[in-house]
Amino acid sequence: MAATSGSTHRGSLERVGSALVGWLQVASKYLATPLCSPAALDRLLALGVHLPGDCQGVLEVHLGEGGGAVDLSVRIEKPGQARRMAEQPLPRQLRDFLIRWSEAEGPFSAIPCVWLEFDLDRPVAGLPIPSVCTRLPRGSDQDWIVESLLPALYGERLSAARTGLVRRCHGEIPEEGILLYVFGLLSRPENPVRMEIYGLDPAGALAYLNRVAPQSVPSLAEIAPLFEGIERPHLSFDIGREILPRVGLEGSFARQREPRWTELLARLVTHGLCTPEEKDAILAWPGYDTFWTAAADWPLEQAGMRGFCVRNLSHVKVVAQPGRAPEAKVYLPVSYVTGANSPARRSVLST
Amino acid sequence: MSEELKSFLQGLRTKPELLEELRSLLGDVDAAIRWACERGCHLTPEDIAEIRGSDEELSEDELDKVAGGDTAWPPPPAPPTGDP
Repeated sequence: MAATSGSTHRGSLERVGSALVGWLQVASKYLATPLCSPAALDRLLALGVHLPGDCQGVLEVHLGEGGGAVDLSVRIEKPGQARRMAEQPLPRQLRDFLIRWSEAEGPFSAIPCVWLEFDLDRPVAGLPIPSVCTRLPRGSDQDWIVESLLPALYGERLSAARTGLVRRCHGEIPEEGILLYVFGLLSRPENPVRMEIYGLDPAGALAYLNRVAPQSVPSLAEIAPLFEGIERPHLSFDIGREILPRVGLEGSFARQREPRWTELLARLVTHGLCTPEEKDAILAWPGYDTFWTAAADWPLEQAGMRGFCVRNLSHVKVVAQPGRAPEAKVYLPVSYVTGANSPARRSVLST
Repeated sequence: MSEELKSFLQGLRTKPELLEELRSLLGDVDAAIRWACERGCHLTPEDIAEIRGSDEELSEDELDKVAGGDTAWPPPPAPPTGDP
């Protein structure tokens, strides 16, 4: 889906709808155990009531024995979505940031999209405090990141020490890498900053970390082989008072259905990071529903009959830190789209 | 969507066999209207067109375009243009 400049992005298929819960309900039949426990599904649906239905939601599924936990992120890509979320009881600085992002001439209008990430490790009562993730415009200036963006996300300037760490980590990114996302982890203890770098292959990520956070190299070295041959690699790490020892490596493939997904998930199974049942459920996830395949759950009132509730496979992430076993997660988007009104199109994807 | 159609569909949505009957008649507008009328609903040709318009599919390419997570993944950094 092509992106356009500025803060409004629109693809050939358009997302509409009033509350995400309707689409989560349609997708829920594919979310049974082993991917999602009944309690986790209850939390997803309770949260989905508060989130715009024209936003893409992404399920963050925790894998492995004892899995079944699922968190939820929502992508804000249009000014109207940001303004609606800003009416919700979010932290003040986050509401202010969303409003400023939605302003066409504002200081953040070049940010293509903003993610709100909700941890669902406890029952949902109202809207939990999310972490916020901003996708950076290409070529973002370091001063703008540390002097404008991060203070807006946190509602205050970061300490000089933390600012210095962000600058150093940014400055050390090699030419083949891009700082793609900056997070304010507002829902985590000490609210660290997360930096997510795109484009470093496992060897490049190890070399980079060796320069900025050598203490994290053994953890990354442990998980890097899982991602050999991956497309679109991402490296992430968090900055609190110091660079924290937890590192994440993620990757994906451009096509939804191709054998390398199976190979990647099989490697996770071999290393005990994913069960065979989870692997099979993940590979069965991509597809879509229409009113005709999900009539009983279809949110007719909000969407009418048209459109598709699409389930995608986004990426796999493995996090590692000293003294703890690595953890794998898979990210499964759910979107409602319309605009593909060609009855002549027929595919085998119908579920 | 007309209120008549919405109300009709609300009644049909949990009856898959009836939905399939309706779906099989969508190529014949008059037959579909008669079928609905026999079930107490007075649909118009526009209503039938609305129903037909909802019965479509996505190709694999379109499914990929809806894409995962962040659809606008960046391509690899552009190579040098070779401009002087």
